[in-house]
Amino acid sequence: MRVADVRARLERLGSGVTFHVLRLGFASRFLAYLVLHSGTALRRFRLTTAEIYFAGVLSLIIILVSGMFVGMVLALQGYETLQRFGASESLGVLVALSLVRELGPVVAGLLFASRAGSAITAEIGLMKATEQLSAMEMMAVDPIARVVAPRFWGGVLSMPLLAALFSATGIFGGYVVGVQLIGVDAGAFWSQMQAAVDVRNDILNGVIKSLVFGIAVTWIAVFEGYDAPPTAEGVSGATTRTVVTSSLAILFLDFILTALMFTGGTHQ
Amino acid sequence: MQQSPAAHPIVEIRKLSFGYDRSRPVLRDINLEIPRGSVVGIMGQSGCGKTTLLRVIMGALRPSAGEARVLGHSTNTLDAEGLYAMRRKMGMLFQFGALFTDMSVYENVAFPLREHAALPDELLNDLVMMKLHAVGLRGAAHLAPTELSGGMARRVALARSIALDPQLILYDEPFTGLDPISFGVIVRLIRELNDSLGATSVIVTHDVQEALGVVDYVYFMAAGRVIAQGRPDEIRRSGEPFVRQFVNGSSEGPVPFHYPAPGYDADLELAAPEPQASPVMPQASH
Amino acid sequence: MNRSTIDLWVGVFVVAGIAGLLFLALKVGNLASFSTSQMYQVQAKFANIGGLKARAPVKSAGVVIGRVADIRFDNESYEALVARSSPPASSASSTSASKRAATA
Repeated sequence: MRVADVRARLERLGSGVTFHVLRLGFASRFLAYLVLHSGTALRRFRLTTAEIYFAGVLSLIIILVSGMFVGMVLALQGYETLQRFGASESLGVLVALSLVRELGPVVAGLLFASRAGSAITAEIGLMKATEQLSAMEMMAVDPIARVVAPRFWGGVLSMPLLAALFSATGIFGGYVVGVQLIGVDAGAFWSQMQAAVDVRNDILNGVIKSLVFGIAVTWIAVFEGYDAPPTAEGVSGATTRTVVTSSLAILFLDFILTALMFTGGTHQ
Repeated sequence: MQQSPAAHPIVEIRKLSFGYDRSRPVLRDINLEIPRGSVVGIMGQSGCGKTTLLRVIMGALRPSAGEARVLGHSTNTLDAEGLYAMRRKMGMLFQFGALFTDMSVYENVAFPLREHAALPDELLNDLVMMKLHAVGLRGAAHLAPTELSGGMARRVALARSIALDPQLILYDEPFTGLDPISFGVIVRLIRELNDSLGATSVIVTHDVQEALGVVDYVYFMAAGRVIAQGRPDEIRRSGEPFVRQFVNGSSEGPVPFHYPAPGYDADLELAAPEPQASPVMPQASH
Repeated sequence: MNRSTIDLWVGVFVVAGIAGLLFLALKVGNLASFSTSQMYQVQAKFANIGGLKARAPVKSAGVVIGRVADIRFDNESYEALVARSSPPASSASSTSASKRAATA
């Protein structure tokens, strides 16, 4: 009885693992096909422009407002801690480095996943459920090239810009709270920041992070949409999976990238 | 467009079988011919494999055995590009239209033209308007698909599927969920478009009575096989019990009311009750 | 939504995004202080570098004249080898820049 029980559990675990590995393989093949069939999306760039509008422009408000508040909170919290050590002029450094290296790409990525990623999944999933993708295929138009690829590139191109805007408004928010409200010296705020933030090591690495997150989130979003069971529950489940999986992917990739980029302790 | 009508049937299916897996064949040993210029119906109960047959004809599924020759190509051997080239000569009307919800009616009809032909704007506009005029919806060009009734949406989808002047038009359940007027319009359009385009039409449907009024020839399917065929008047007079049941829509006949199941007694746990049977289960009902 | 309206908004978005990146590079980062003129390297040896780190500014009279490029351990002299890049204009003073100035 117990042996059979353990056996059944192991079997379930095994088939679960196999299922996910198979799905990852399919998703990779899908990505390769998608990238190889991106000719239409890039040649007729208007298709991609429209998707930059939906993924990027429509995410702007939430990105800007969140960035502003995150920067303001960072300044408040950072000042509390720094002034205990008499280092409140380093407030700019703290706000800028936190945003540029970590919070900008990560929080913008999480917001992007829930705002744009879920919308992409739902849209592609519904197009599949209502046979729009089959109809396209019947018209001898490859739905991956025509529908999926523009959404993929639109998301991938939008994400670094959104992350940069998130960091920039965050730093502005930190400036407003730190300098205008609390009264940290403006000169110290900016000059210490400039001395400490390196373009290649901090800013460029942040941009690379946001690009990687953009690829991961959009890949997950288009794949979940394309792979969604063509029913109402199927699409809603796929939308939830997009947000959950891409949020986990962002945090996991962030750890990997941070470990690769910022190890060695050569930073101040 | 009509070339040597009798020479080659536009769709020719020989000894075709298909199954998603080996144990459950969906189509079994189908033989079927669709001559040029005709309107042919493929009818049968839901789940008899007629939609699967349609998907084999459009090349979305590959037969497990036998051959389907469509427009002169064997779908078994076509690669993706050959398949797309073949589909450019085909139009397909989906059950609920499958209009692109993010585009206007005009853009929906323009879609295949934009994708496959680099036309100047004026010519494109003329073509789109001609197709919309053919289905009587020129005035609805600027509407969004969500603003259309079911019947109108299907007419727009029809205009879209004939945008490239196809030689073969496939209809998947074109009559489902239509009111009598929309239904009459669709029936008229199927016939008119078929004759004016010199095309060939295949209608897959379970609305037998309605479809018998449009088609030139009917294939009846049941459980993955073609069980009867003939002209509509032959079918109406047919003595075959299944066809009679289907045409008359009666619940009694060779098609059983009950889905295959183990004995009724067994399901009520009368025959051999399991040791762990729930105590609240009625023990006897006789 | 009109096509040209979409194009306009996407244009605004891309310009804003690039402006954000430039703001980060120029105002937040130190790209503006990068000298476009040729840098040359100065090496110095210290018995103890204290808390000196790579990329720390090298100052002369309080002015940033270069940055610490690299810190290594010298296997022969058993001292720390600090390489600094400085713009040529300030070569005279940079050679005398002390470790204390570098860590400031």
